[in-house]
Amino acid sequence: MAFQDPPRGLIVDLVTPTETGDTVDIPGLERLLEKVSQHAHGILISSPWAGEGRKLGLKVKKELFERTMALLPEGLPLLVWISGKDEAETRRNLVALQKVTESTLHDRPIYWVDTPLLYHSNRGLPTLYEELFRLAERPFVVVNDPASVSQVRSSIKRKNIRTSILKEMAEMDFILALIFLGTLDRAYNYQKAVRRHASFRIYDGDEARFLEYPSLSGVVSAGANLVPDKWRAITESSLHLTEEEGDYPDSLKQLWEIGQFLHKLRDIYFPNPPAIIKSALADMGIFGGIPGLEDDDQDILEAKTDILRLVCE
Amino acid sequence: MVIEQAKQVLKIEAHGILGLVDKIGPEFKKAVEIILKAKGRVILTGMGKSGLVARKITATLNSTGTPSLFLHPAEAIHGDLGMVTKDDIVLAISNSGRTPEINTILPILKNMGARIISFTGAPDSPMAMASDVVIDVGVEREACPLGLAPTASTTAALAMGDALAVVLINKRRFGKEDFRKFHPGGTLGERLALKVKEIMLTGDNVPVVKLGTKVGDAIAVINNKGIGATLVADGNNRLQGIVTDGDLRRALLKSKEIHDLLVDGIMSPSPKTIDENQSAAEALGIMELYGITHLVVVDREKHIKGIAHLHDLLGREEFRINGISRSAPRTDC
Repeated sequence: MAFQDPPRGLIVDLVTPTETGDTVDIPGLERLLEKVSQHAHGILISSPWAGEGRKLGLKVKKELFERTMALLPEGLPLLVWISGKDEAETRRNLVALQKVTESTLHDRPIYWVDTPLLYHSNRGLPTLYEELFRLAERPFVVVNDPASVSQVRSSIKRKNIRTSILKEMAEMDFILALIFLGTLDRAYNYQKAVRRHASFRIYDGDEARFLEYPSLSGVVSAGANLVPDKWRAITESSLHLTEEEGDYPDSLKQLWEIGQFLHKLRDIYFPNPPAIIKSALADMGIFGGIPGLEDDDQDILEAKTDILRLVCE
Repeated sequence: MVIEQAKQVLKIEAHGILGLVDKIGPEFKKAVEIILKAKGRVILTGMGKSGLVARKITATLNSTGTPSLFLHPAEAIHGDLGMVTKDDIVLAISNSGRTPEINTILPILKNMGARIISFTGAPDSPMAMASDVVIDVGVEREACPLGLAPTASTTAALAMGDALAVVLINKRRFGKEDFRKFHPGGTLGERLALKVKEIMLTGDNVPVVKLGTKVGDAIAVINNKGIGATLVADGNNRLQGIVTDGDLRRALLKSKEIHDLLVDGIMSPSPKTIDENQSAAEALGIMELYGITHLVVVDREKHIKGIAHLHDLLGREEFRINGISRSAPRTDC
């Protein structure tokens, strides 16, 4: 079965607008998608990073998925994080989300995103994906995120996908990309492992890494919720998606300044991306409010103020 | 930090090139065949950094036997397209494959009948679509932030250009002599910096006869040693004169029977000499000044140390250098 190649470029790691924790703030979602979608090459929802995927219940995930599909411009690829706390929950998530796609008329490329080592060992991963694919016949993007795996399963020995396993998975025609976090040396090994598959993407899951040594597949960016135009400009420049020479004499200076700006912005929201970004978006009028955020949550409030000051400068 | 960052850049670029290994396939072979069969030249084109890469590949192809030209895409639409003929092959370089200046000229070049090969990191780009052969030079990661300057991608394109040039060298059976033919400047410069003793002929390679030798025997020596002359020495190997082809012609004009004459009667008694520690450039200057092709290398007492020939100064395959004697007698004097 042939699937459309995953997008190259900017994948916006969408924050999840919730009203009470178990309901999606639909107007907020609409405003956010309106803000980011014109600059994105793809949208990732329910991610374990900005999307708070591990905290979201299946009801919210389904609603978010359904609403996002309805609101996104036609043809814009949508990536959905499906991982549960164990294999059974991952299967349940997948089946439920697949049902959502079957009940809608929206036709767009959809990719299931999974961090397998959060609930499974390296051994038997290819078999697992054959089974998951049979449940919901859409392509997969796998995630290598050793830091998150360490937090959830500190006792397991291997916190990275083994290179040989990735090589085996890349042979499957429905596993099309990897979101990568980890050391550059591991990135080189992974690149080597998947080289036979020219269209296999390895996205940078670490924005700071992308700003220094950009992967030419693209980046998964939480900061793009705040300044999608700037992230788009840097992504296009880094991936040579447009012509090689700028139209104006100070184009390089401008790119440099945008890069420095994005570094600074990331440093501010990095301690807690979902809370800080959502808080800033609320003040920018995108969301109605942020449930669960206490007035005395001083760190978040200070970070939000810094972000607003930086963005408004 | 500085060291680590520099190492990282080199690693990224190295992995970029290694990534090309798996991309060499039928398309590369097709590009080689097209270039080998072409009656015209290879016209390289590219903008910005890709343009600089194109210029370097042009130089490499030219110096290895594939006639090439660089065509600036912006100048092309202002008249330089006139340098391209239907027999030429165009090699366009653009990582994005979306460089407007290139995509403007490719259809025109194609209409002229030129075949297009492209080096690009985007095999689905407009430039790739307009090409007869697409060679993927895409890399997985750039070493420079923010797209400020292409790094691994231009290194990869450059390396692919080298791969193409080297394969063409072998296909064309381009040899050392051909390389020397295309590099007279560099070789000459290096050789003229040498000392006379590093390029002169010595030992048995020096044609020498004794005073009192018959001209017929001297002719045999001249013929055997192959530099168009023989030195004449006394019993202590001190220089007494030189017999050149010119001396023989002049003797023949006086008498048809010269074989039994003695060299003493026809030789030039004061040949130009040089010290072995003088430079090859000085030797060349003396030869130019007097319109001669040999200089005898002697010490203060006029003992013969060797002979320097114009061809050895300019570089010839079978010259003597640092004690290595030439391999065969020469016949080109």
